[in-house]
Amino acid sequence: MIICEKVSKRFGEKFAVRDVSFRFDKSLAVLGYNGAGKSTLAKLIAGILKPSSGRIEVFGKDPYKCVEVRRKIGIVTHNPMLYRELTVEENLRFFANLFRIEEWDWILDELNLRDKSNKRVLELSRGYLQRVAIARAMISNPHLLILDEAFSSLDLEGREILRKMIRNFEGSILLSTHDLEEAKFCGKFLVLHNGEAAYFGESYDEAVGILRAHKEGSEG
Amino acid sequence: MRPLAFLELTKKDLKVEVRSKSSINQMVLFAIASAFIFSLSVDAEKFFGQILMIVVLFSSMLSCSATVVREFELETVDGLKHSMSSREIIAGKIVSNSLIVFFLVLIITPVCYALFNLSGDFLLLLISLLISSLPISTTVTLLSPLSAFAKGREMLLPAMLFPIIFPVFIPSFKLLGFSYAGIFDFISAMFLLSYTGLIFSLSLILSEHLF
Repeated sequence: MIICEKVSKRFGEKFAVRDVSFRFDKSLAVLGYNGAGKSTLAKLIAGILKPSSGRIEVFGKDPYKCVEVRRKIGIVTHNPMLYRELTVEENLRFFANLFRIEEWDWILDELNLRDKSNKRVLELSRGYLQRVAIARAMISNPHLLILDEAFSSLDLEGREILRKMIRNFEGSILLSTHDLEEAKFCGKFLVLHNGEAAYFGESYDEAVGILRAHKEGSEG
Repeated sequence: MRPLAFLELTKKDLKVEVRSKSSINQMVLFAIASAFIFSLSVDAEKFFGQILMIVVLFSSMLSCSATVVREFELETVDGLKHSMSSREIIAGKIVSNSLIVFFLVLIITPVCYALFNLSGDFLLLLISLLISSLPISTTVTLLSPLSAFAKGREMLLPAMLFPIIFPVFIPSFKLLGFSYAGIFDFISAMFLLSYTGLIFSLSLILSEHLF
């Protein structure tokens, strides 16, 4: 169970996330346009950022304070969190060693990265970089997978691979996106607007309706 | 803290450093250039301990802070935080930075020995300089995350470093001076090692606030 209670995150005077509350077990889609606070919320739940106020609980513990919980979370953000000077294989081996995982190269086949494994990360295209970032997140067999705009730089093959991985994933998923089609499979929906929760519930249509209304409101 | 985890980070850091060569090249070139200038301008044989310490201090500041700041700038530190505790991260960084500074010392000592026309005990001088470099690399690594996001971090790091590193200077000069005469100053060496231990412990205690 992942619980957020009145969570806020402030950078200086500006609130990136304000008084957001929700809880989910299996899957949650966080919907919102650019600047809505999706990435900040993803980093808060992953334990990368410390909330300014409120309470976050992932599998019963605060992810910011507990490394054991963070080790159960796989996260893909716009930043691949990879070392440019190392090869794909060296990067993945490094993270696998940190997690004490010996059998890890199945992930190369899963993401069709085998022929790129000896290439340095700085030589990869944006799409392949994203695949390696997904491999890094999945290598530890996480219990919670956070995908923040993970589909954005992938080509058709990459998107299909990621969809398949998500379908087969047995843990919890938090999918942060502005692509409504990708979010359809989720069980719960959270709509963020200017850092605040505009909707939280189980209806996809209602979430999309509110999201569109906010867009029209801000344009009108 | 898992000892093998921070050694993995050390291994990775050294591999990245060897591949990029940016910090190592910068550090070695700076050290050799400054040693050369000092050898021409002052009585280098008389002040070799002070000169060596200045060279090692400024070169360490260049390289040790760069390896830490790069993790923040490229946001790779977020990936580390997901797989390691902050104690493991700081311990790994201190070990890798100390090894990088050791590498510098191994290069700069024979160069200085030749440039300054030194004739004392080379091996003892080398060991003394390695011991003297330890508190420097440890302190720079501790302070680097604090200055990583500062606007004037090039100014902030030395400003924070000097008051903390100040107690190390006199024992280092003594250790290097005695070693040149073929005597190992055990008390100064113990002071420097204890100081390193103190800063290392402080780094572990403060690690939650650093990473």
